[in-house]
Amino acid sequence: MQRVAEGHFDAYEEIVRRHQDTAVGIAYHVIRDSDQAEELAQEAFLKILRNAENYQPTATFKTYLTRVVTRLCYDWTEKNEPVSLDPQQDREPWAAHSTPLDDALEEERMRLLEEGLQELPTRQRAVLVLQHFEGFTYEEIAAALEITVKAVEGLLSRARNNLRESLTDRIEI
Amino acid sequence: MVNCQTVRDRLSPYLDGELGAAERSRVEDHLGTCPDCSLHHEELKRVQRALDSLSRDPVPVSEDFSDQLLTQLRREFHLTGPGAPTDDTSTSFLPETSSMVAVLTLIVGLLVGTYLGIDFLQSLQTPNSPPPADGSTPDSTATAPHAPEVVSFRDAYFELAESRSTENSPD
Repeated sequence: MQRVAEGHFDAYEEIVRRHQDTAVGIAYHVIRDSDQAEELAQEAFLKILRNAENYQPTATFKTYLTRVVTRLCYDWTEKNEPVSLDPQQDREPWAAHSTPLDDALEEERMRLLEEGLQELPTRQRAVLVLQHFEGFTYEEIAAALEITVKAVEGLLSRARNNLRESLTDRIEI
Repeated sequence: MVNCQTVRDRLSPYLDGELGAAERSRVEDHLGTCPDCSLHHEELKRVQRALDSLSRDPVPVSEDFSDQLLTQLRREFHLTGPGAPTDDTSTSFLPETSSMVAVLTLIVGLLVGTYLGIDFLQSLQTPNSPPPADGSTPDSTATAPHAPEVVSFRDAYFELAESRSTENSPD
């Protein structure tokens, strides 16, 4: 990013290609809309480049990108709640060798899990996404979202308990 | 002795391996003696496993994601062509500020150059300034008809040189 801040556009091309999957992945898991996720990810890269001159290398680029993407997701969900179901989210059953009944149960469980995720408050969902889907540590999440590690713990704990309640109410997980 | 609520609040970091040894030990001791908290723990583990199965598939990204973005970046930052190189190794994406600086520098340079040129002309008017060697108009006047009329500095120089030539010519 130092080179980008000095005006080297080619350096930013490389950064975009290296981090685009992370940006789209985070946005998608938080807002649950694949088309919109790409738009938000693009907006995040644009926003960072517009402010490249003010970039301070106090965090890794991934942390910085995550912060920008999640803020855009917060703004978007505030304007667009409730999040609609995304048909592209349908997943293959995870069990490789399963009966049709297993597949049906698994599909139902995944659907309920998706619903449970969508019902989570955005900040809980964002923390859960970063921990589960992106493999961030608590410290990395705290740095990316500019909150304390204690707050990360609290949000993650509430997110899991909310999921647990929504799933156990409806299906034997 | 820890109570159930305290343990349940710590189950999430416990599952993630984020607790220190002493706290982890306290949680495990409690789980070993409390069926309700143990069940709660099992349910959270199932949620975790379910989430893990969701995250197996990477989120698909459009093939033209980066091309679209880079096109937009080039448009916004007034760059042309892939990478829009300004030299062999790099490309500037800060045209707005840098070009403004370049224009201002050029204007200031012209003003300073004009000022210094006038100063130079004034110095030629001093009595000790040497006249042209042969007392005639300098050879460079040969190009004068082709020079743009707007170059006032040059016009002024030739005018001065001509007047000095007249002053120093023998009667």
